Amino acid sequence: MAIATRIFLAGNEPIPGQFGAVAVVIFPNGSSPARLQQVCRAFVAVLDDSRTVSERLPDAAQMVTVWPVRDRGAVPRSGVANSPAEADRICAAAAANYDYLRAQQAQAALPTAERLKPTARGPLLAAWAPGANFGQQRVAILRYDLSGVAGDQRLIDAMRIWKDKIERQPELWQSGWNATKVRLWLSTQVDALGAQIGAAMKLVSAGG
Amino acid sequence: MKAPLWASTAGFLIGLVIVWWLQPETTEGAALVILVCTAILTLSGLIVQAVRRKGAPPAAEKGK
Repeated sequence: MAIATRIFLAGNEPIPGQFGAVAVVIFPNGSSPARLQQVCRAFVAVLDDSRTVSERLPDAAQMVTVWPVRDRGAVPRSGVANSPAEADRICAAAAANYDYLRAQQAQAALPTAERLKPTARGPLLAAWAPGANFGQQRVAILRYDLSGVAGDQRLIDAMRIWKDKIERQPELWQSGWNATKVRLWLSTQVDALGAQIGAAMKLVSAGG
Repeated sequence: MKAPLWASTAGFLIGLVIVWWLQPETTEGAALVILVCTAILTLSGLIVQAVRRKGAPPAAEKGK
């Protein structure tokens, strides 16, 4: 039985290789802190804390998703969020200390076609299995680009899709589209376009 | 030319179904979906109506 977990990993800590799979949350350089925090809240809400799970299950059963941070001390070590306020506190620190360098390294390890597009806002979730194969090519890779997904609830739904997918056997990983992914993307676009049109109409009515 | 009522109604209903499926988080998003669906179906209804009128024999000849 595999279980999807999460870990905040500092720049000087090696990517743990003993896990069933290792994934990285990859944001492009200069991402907005608000976006980082929003995604982090979904990350914390949906995935279980790796250290807590490690006390009860062997590491090989964990499909761990890494949120890279520059300074380990900046993010609470336990990473367990029992309340929205605690999740906000963890995510404020995790967003402020996001390690873009490690994210770039992880992205460089992906085949070119699987990387984030230069204009994408991210994040890209990319997983390698087993964890010891992190960064290697010609191994099972799972990817999910969340660039087109926004909004707290939609990001939680998207993170649930990720959890569901990564918990499957790597041989069954599929990075392609499914109906829920399409719905989350379309819904985000509709909201964004609706907001733009609404703002434009307000401008016109204010001008007239 | 008057748009057929069935087309506008169908567009509105389809819009509602899509809103239910998409679950947009804002009212603007939901309104946009319903408006676009209603507009597309209304336009389609107008085109269908025009094609039918063109294909039908003129009313004067019909009586002969």
